[in-house]
Amino acid sequence: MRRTLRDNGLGIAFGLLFLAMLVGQAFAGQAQYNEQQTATGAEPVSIGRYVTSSPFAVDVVENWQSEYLQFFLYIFGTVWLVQRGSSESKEVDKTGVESDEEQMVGVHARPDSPPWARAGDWRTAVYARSLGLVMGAIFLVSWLAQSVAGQAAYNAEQLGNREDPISWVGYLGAADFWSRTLQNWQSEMLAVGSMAVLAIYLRQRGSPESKPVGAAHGDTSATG
Amino acid sequence: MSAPRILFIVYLGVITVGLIYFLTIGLLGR
Repeated sequence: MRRTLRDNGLGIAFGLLFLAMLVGQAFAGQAQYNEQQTATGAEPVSIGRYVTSSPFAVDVVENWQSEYLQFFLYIFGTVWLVQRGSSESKEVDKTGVESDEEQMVGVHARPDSPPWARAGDWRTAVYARSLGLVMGAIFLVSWLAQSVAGQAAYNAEQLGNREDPISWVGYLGAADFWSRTLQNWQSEMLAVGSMAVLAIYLRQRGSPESKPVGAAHGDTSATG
Repeated sequence: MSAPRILFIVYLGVITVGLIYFLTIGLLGR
């Protein structure tokens, strides 16, 4: 049990932190929503009503989509783009998808390689892109959910203000949709870019996200 | 089943259920 917890600390800890913070977001969001409701003379809502409402849904998934976009772009981008001196980058002369030998696919698979890495046909082609494809798919579905829940939340507000609701396609061109989207995207791009660049000169002892403390600034792709 | 495999399934499951849940809320226009 102790060993299982230690060996899986990252996945377990971040999973639990996610759940705790989602619960926190639900209560803080309900409080904020009810402040607005009271200010406009409307009835406050229960926590059960709030967590099944589109204002809560759009606030959650607008953040999900940007995180998965970030990882999707990072996973695919780092195949082709490198950063000299960064632990986040591979060696600068290794751009691209690399050889079958380096990637241990097809006839170069090891005895313990995943079966789809050994297959050498379409299964290997799919499996070789599976991380990026899944992250990209989660991004697209989250962004779709943001647009659908965002439209519902936007229209509820419109009706409250005695203004006309808009269609889903109309909402895709609305300032509300793009403001929510881009305010999340900009922060993700800054965080990813700064992580790649700051890791050239700064260190975190013991972290695989950093080079070893004594590694030269010019060393690329080292972790420790 | 190994702990990493359980974590993998739980993470993908939570994300999938979460996306369906939030998408449904939006589609119902709640």
